[in-house]
Amino acid sequence: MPEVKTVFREVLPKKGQLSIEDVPTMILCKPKLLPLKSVTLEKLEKMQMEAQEAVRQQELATKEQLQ
Amino acid sequence: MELSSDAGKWLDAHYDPVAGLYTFSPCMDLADLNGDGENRLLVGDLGSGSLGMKLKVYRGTALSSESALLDLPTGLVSFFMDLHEPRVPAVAVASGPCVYIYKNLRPYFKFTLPGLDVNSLEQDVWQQAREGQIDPLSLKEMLESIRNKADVPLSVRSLSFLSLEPSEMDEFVQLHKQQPVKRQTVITCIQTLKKSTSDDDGVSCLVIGTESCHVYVLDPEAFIILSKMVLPSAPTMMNVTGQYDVEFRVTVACRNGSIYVLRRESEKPKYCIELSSHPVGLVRVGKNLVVGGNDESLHGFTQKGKKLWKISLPAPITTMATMDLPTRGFQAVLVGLANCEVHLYRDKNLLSTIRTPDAVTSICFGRYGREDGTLIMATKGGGLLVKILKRTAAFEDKDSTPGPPLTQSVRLNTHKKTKLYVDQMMRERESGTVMHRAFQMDLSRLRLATAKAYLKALESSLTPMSSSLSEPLKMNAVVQGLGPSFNCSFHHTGLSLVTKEEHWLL
Amino acid sequence: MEVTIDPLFLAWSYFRRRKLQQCADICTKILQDNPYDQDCSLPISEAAWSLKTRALTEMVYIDEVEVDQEGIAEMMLDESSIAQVTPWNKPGWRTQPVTQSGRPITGFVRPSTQSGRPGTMEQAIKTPRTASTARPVTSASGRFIRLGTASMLTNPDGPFINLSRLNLAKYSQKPNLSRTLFEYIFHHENDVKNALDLAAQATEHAQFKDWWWKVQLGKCYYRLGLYREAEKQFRSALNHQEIVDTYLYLAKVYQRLDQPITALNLFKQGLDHFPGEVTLLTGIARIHEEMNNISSATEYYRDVLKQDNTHVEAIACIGSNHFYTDQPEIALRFYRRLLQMGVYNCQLYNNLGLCCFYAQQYDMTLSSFERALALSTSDEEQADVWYNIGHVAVGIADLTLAYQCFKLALAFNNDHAEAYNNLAVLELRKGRVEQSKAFLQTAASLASHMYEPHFNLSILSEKIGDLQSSYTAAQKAEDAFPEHVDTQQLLKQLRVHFAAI
Repeated sequence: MPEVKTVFREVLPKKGQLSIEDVPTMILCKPKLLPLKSVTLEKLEKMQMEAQEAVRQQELATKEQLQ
Repeated sequence: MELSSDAGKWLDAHYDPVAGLYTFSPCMDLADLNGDGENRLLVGDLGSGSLGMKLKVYRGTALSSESALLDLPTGLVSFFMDLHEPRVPAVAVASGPCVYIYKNLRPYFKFTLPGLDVNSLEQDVWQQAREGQIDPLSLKEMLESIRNKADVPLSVRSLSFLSLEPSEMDEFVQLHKQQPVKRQTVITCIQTLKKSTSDDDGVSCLVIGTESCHVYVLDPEAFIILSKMVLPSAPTMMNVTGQYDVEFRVTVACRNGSIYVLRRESEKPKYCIELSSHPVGLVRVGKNLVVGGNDESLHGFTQKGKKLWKISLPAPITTMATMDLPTRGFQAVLVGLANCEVHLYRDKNLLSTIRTPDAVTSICFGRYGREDGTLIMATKGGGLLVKILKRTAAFEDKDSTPGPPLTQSVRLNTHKKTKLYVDQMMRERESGTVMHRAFQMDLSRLRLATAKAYLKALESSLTPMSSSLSEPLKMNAVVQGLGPSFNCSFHHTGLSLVTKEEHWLL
Repeated sequence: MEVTIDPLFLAWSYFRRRKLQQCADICTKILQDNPYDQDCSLPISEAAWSLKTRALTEMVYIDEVEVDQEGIAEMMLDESSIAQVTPWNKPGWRTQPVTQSGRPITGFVRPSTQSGRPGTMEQAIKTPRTASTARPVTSASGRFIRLGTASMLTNPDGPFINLSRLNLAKYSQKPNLSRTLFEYIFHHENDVKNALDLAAQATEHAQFKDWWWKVQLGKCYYRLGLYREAEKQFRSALNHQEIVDTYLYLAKVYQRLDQPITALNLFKQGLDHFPGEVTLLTGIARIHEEMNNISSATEYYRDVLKQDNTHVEAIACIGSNHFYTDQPEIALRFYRRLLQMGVYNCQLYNNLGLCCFYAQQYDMTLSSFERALALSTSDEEQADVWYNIGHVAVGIADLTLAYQCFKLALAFNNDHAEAYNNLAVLELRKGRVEQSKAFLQTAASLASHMYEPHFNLSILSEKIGDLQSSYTAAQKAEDAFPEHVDTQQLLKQLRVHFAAI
């Protein structure tokens, strides 16, 4: 059978009206750029983490002492 | 543009934002109460809805008299009931099942609607209750079965009995069983109809619409029912024209969303207009009817019910009234809107827009004091607003149906494509294959990484919803509080539509 | 032969090299040998004492201008106009994600902008109480106090200086010691009351002529919430000496007093004295940003960049603004600039990934996200990155991947309302209506300020014929975003339904 090469072409009407029905669809939330942290904030957070860690260490230590 | 043209048409005569006037258009009328050629404003004030119902009379900008009403007014009209001199109109206030007639602002007569037939079964049941044959609980059962089956509805007494708690029933029966059972209806709207002449001071009959789907015409002197007509549904608004002795039309908007036209010598409606939404305003202009729908639209009909036009309004209608200026041969419709505007329409053309400081609930146009073209409005917040039409004001009939909407020609605010964008496009075009390959490779790696992470999350049950198909469940924990103690709530949503909530105090 | 350096000199050198702990250790040793006594002591111990206070202060020093945390009480009880600016006075706003209060998220986060202003009391107390975002009841308590107590805990021998035994009057006479002591009390001990005492006595000793002490007094008053007093001190200090910092402090007072316009004028006044001063320009930009006037804010950030082209905040803010106004290719350029400057963290790579994807630079997209995941330090960051990868997956129509990504976002952050919303959209595509509805309801309850869940819920309810729920949800969506056209259309359609007989 001879191979027939079919060519698909899109149809773009040049005349007449084009109507689109606007159906409301569900929407996604937008992508989220993450804000960069200021130096002060980073330092604050670091200090807070360190402080928390220190408190935790101390609590652990006192617990061990009690046991 | 509209605003400036309106400032040129209306004079601001009076505005009292704290007049304490709570009313709607059917409860407002203008009449020359003293026969001195100066019109007063009559208002049936609804008060707070349960207290403070009053009949108020304004003269100029001041309240000149007020008297208490026994019940909520549903309509107020002034009319001439006799031919005595001096020619002073009487005032009729409809409330509950009664019409109270005032002459010279003094109570004169009270007309009560005739009672309706009582269901005979109901009567028998109450009879048995009176004789102590049945206890309140079986009375309740029997009444309920009557309510479900019978053609004739139950009386108010039986209905209120059925709504009681069992503990209160006995007391209710003791209190009421001695009186005979009566069934009474209430008035929903009231209008006047000239008896035999169309003169301004001719004697008028009262036309009353009731909850029991009747329209009565009352004789003005003897207060006997001249005519009784039946409607398919309860009337809510009414418009009457003609003379009783000659020919008349009563146009009634009913609660089933239809408008019926009644005529002399026919007990049943002659024409019916079925609307697409519930009517909220009914006004006659010349021979045509203008109906406001609660879908923010205004319709025009001929009096035989042929639809003429329909326009959309920018906001829901709060009230409607005719603007009739016989000296100038001018008739139009005033439409109060919820967006604090009052529009004036002649046919479907908007003639003028009045901005008001508050949404208007009640409009009345006519002769007030000695001024012919006075527009009186009561607002939602209880204010009273009086405007006077300037003698020089002229309304132009413009067909305001707009062409294509203005927004069509507004350009969208979009960015021009930057050079950077073009450069990047070029890059994409030139090295598309390489980019695609890189992307696909990354994508396979990412798919693997995601699948791994997802598996880990599933294995350690980190996701807030269950992954099993048989027990779809979602949990969501919220911690609230300022510490040191916190409230921790867990919301479990079973996808079988049962939601449980647990609270833990930590 | 070993050359020994004089210990005090060594400590000083350590201090200059910011090896603060070593510096403090040496000073401690010196002080052990030469105990410091307030009344009569050697100059060496006095110097060591002073150096140690400075070292300890530097360890916990944070820029007072930048630190500003409103407590719940201040936030909920005042009605400042910045707080009440409607966030929607610019069309097209809602292309941008918003904070709890409905204010758009900008490119940069500072301590005071961290979690936005909650709309209701319930939201306020619901703020996730992790270390990074915990919110105190009032600014008089909270982070400073917690840090203060923490610093004491870490010192096994108790505090270095016992404030209750200190004779502040004497120190206030010694200008060479009083300043370091003040900073120590203010920054390290966070004891504002004693700091205020010291500052008051010192300024008296300086015959009310020293601007420095006035500024410190103002700082104390500010911390105590006495804004009018603070204003007086800062104004008076400016009369003595024009200093940039004083302008910044004073502007902060006005912002707290709800006078953003006064603050703007003050900044402009400051710019007359210090033309092109970056911190003043940034201040103006920030106020514009808070009042949602992003285009003016961007103008000022551009001015900032003209003066200092490595200003991270300005670059980040302009970048995010471009991204959300549909110019990701320009945003990409700004974020790449940050990368060149050496910023290296999760947030930046995440943003680069997004910009690359939307600017069609696909080859760099996924590797950026991979790096962002690797660099993330907290579960919240991880969740946000997965959420954004989910968007890329939706973009290339790989819905399985998208589904997994949004679920992962939820696994890392159970309160990720956006992920819930997007997951609901995917679930509905699969035809699982109940699931979708449950997710939307959760999203709506987690973040009632977002319009998307309400709108989606409205559409879903309308589809299954529950018009009443649809209407209620649409109304909520309208509250959150009045200009949203689709919501308006839906409402209109529903009203027609209701009005019909």
